[in-house]
Amino acid sequence: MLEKKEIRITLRLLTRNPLSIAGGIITVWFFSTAIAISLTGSRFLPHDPDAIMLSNALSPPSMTYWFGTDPLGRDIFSRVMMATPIDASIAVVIVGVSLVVGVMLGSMAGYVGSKLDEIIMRTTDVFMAFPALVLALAVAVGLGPGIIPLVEALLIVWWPWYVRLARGETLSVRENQYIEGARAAGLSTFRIVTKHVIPNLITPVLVYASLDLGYVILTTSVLSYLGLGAQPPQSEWGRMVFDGQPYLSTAWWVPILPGVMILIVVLGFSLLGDGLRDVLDPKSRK
Amino acid sequence: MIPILFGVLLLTFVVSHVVTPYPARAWAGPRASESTVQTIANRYHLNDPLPIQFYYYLSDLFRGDWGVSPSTGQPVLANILAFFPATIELTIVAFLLSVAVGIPLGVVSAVHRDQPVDHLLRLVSLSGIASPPFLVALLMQLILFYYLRIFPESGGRISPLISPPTHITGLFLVDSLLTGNLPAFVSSLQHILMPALALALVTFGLATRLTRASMLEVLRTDYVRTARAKGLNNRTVIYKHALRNALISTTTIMSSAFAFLLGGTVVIETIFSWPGIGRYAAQAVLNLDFPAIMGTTLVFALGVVLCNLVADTLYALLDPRIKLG
Repeated sequence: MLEKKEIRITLRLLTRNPLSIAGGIITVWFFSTAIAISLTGSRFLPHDPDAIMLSNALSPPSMTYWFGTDPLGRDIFSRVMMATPIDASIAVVIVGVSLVVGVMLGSMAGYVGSKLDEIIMRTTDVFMAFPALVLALAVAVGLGPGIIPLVEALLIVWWPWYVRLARGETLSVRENQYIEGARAAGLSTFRIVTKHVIPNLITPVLVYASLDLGYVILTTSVLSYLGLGAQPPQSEWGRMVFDGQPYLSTAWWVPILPGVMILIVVLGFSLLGDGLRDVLDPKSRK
Repeated sequence: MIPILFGVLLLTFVVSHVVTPYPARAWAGPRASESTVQTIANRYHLNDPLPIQFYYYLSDLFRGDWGVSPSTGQPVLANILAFFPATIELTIVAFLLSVAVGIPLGVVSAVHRDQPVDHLLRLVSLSGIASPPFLVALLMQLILFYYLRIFPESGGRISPLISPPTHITGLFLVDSLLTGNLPAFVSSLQHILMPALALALVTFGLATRLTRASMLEVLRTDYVRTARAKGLNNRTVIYKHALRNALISTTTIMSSAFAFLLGGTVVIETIFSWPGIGRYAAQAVLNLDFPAIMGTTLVFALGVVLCNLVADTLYALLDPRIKLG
């Protein structure tokens, strides 16, 4: 893990890049909004997200309605904000579970090698032969509509990438002398992997995970755009774009602005993760 | 290759027969009657032990029986074969577009590392990767069609006023060129450009970033320093010495970009009414048409496996140090 001094240097390098700062701000904003909304509900939003007001239908973005209103006169900005907790929690669950599963399997595969490595890696190869989105679609359709099947479908397609990453890191960590020392001291394989291998590969995996949170949000929005996952009246970003699509030529803000929100949040995670990777990679560090 | 293919078939079997709680109901479709569900269960041996089900699953697949789509009432394989050329054409054009734009920009980005150009290109390519495909497609429709009226209204592969070219490969661009049918070529080009651009955006970002990363690595090597030291001009060093080596790793990774492209077709083809497999899959999702979804999934996986094979071959051709074993 990173030492305190390391963290300070990393932060200083990170804040030198304006794009990384922007990414950090977006990320913090997204999670704090999600937490605030799940604690207080719609109380602090500019409008009630479910209040239907047909006289206000399809009004363009203005000072009162920042993102305009939808065909039922509901405030789009408030509805977009209401969807943050669901996207944030899906992202955290998928990345968290994939990370734990991936690091365990990947470090074992990389450290033990031979047969175990073959079996685990060939299995991930098979999963990675599928376009993630399409496999998730198939699983989700088989399981039926709703948030839980969506999460299960994403979990099934998401973990192999972490196995790959953790195994690659293990292969280089394994060659270190302290590992040889631990083995000479008679530590069990399990202990070496959990106490010596995993702590030394976790940093790059965490960096990847920070980037990856954004991609989970992106994929979730595509799946719900296609009609899986959140069912009405629950608001979800991809679903809002899909429902607003017929109004593209007459009221562009209805489908476009929720989509832009997805772009901003995913971009925020990417910028932050990208900046972190640049800073933590000793080769590109200056 | 063979183990991967077997694994792919095993995984589609597990998804369709084991993960799915009521396979017979899923295969029959949401509106099927109880007796139809029973017929399906018997026809596909869904009440037998799993290994026997797997045997029947494989033998059905190889005999070309991929199930009947409950929403179209036609065999899934026939549907997929009919929609196949459109998707191939779209993904190839999108791939070429993203590589043709992405690689030069990656070089520019690496050569001007940490300068404003590099930051701008990084923002652009990251936005490409981070933007939901439907947003790009809708924005393009809004701006290029509704406001500027540059492109024809989306829908189909060719203008309804022009008859499609004689069927040779099924790719309209190729067929119209082969038969010398210029109006058909122009019209198909107009129709393919917008969806292909929208689809290309993701892999364009990927190509830029990969090229940038591998160029940075190559530019640090000794042979590049030697080339500079012996007085070669900057252009020759970058394009002849550095880029050729940088492209080796870019090529292999870009082959996996095909998986992204195929996944992207589901959304892009739907928005642009492009009659391909992606749109077929999206409609299958709406209709809860499970056989169609499973068929598409299998075809896409086979496509990715094939692309990886091509990439490995290319890798060996590009890099004389690697021999195909």
